[in-house]
Amino acid sequence: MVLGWVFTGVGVVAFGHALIHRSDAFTAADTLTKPKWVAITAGATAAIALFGAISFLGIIGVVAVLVYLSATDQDGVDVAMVRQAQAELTAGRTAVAQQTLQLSIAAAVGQLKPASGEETGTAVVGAPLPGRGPLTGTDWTLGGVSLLLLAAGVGLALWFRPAENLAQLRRRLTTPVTGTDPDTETPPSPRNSPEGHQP
Amino acid sequence: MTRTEERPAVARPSRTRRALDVVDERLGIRALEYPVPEHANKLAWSLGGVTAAALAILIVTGIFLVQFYNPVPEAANQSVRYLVTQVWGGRFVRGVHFWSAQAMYVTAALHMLRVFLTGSYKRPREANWLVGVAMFGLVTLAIFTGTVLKWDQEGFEALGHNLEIGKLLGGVGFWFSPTFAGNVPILIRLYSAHVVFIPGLIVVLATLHALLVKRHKISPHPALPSEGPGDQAPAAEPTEPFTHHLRRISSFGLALLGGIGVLAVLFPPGLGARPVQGIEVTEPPVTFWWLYSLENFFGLPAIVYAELVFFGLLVIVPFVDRSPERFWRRRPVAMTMLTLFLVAIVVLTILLKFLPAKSHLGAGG
Repeated sequence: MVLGWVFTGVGVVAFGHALIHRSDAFTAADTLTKPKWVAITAGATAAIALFGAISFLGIIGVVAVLVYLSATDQDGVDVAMVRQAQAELTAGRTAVAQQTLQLSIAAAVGQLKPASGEETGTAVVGAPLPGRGPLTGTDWTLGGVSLLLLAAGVGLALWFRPAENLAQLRRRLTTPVTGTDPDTETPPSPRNSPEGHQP
Repeated sequence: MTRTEERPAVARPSRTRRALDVVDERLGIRALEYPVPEHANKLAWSLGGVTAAALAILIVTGIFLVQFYNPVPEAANQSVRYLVTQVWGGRFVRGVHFWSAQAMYVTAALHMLRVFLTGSYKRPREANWLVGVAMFGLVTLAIFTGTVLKWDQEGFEALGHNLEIGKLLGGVGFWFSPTFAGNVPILIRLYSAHVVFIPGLIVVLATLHALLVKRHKISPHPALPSEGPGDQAPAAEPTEPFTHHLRRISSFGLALLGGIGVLAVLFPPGLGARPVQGIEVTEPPVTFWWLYSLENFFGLPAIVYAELVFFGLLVIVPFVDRSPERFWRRRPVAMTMLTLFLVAIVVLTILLKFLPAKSHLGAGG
């Protein structure tokens, strides 16, 4: 008796579920259409309520409701986009198809609990992104422009280089005219700093 | 009043000059023409500027990448794939961003090496050395967060290591805990750090860095006589306007951009598979190999200690080495320490290739 009430409840849930979900969610699973499932769950629930779960019709009702509930829920999947992705895959455009598939489940993904903390947010291991492959026209253009920039930069850096090198600078600074000690060929000792901040 | 009287005597300046005058009157750009000693224009003394050029490239390409990147864990890896395969020039811009980051790390390290070799961190420039060390730390953080953002196996494992480090640090590592803001994926928080806090802090510190260089003036070349007190270049050294320094840095920057562009075309950065929790199969970027070798020897906590020692050594440099001597040949102790430091990093980096791969995550350190 209790079992009958329980399964009547389950049947009502299944019936409600079948009633409120979009029709394309049913066809995607390649099962029966929405009106058929609504009718089946309604009939099954009525059978359980009338005859109890442990009866010939009741058991059929319980099985029908459980089959409905255990079927994969296709809600949130844009079936039109899945078909489009299928066409793109057949046409060999894998990357585009992957993108379309990703978009087709956007609504379903939206219903998932988003990743938090250090969760990876993905359950599927994909392949690494393939390398660049042979150089394309764009690559050659960008590479060529880069080479020109490199050459221009090196050229300008040379053009703007300091007028004197270190040896010339040192000679110039150690000549008596500047007033520094002419004997210091090597750098002068900084001991002449009056503070002498050595420990 | 006197201007009107003088005007007829002066030859009429060129159109560009007059246009510049108009701008200068409003914005004071001529203030940039202050004199700097000639040795500042040498390549070794321009490396800080080249690092700034790399930062500029990173910011511009970063603005482009942000338009296409989705920091939600479910979509992050896919959004990078989309950028690389579907957006025109996406692969190239991502490559330029990647290679500029490597370049910035290298030029910043070389700049620090130059500053060390010429004793430019010495009085009165100790504080500016610390600002530089802080920026180097931020660049390391930026490279790390950037690695995680692509959300492939390698990035995810890098994150795993750092989460464990966060745990080891106890209360100090609170930000690096996935439970600190449990409702937000840690990827989004790292993203905000990568595109806002870290570059923002680098720009602020770089400004301070440049202002302090202007305040203390460029340090004297150790091979040239110096003024002694205050350690300024001698007044007799020829000077050039600072705008010429900017011009030379821009030239180097242009060459850097070109070189990076070639690298981006020929060797675009890869992207691994979407991450799986609980496995450890990848290797970190080469800049972190020395840490990884230590980790293989001593377990995961070695990363914390090694980073503390690394940055600790950099921080204490100007406080331990207080001798005013700047010429490298008269600083045997400093040069020996530097050599040991560099050899240790290089040896540990190479060692990784000869050590068996080990798992570190979840081993409790």
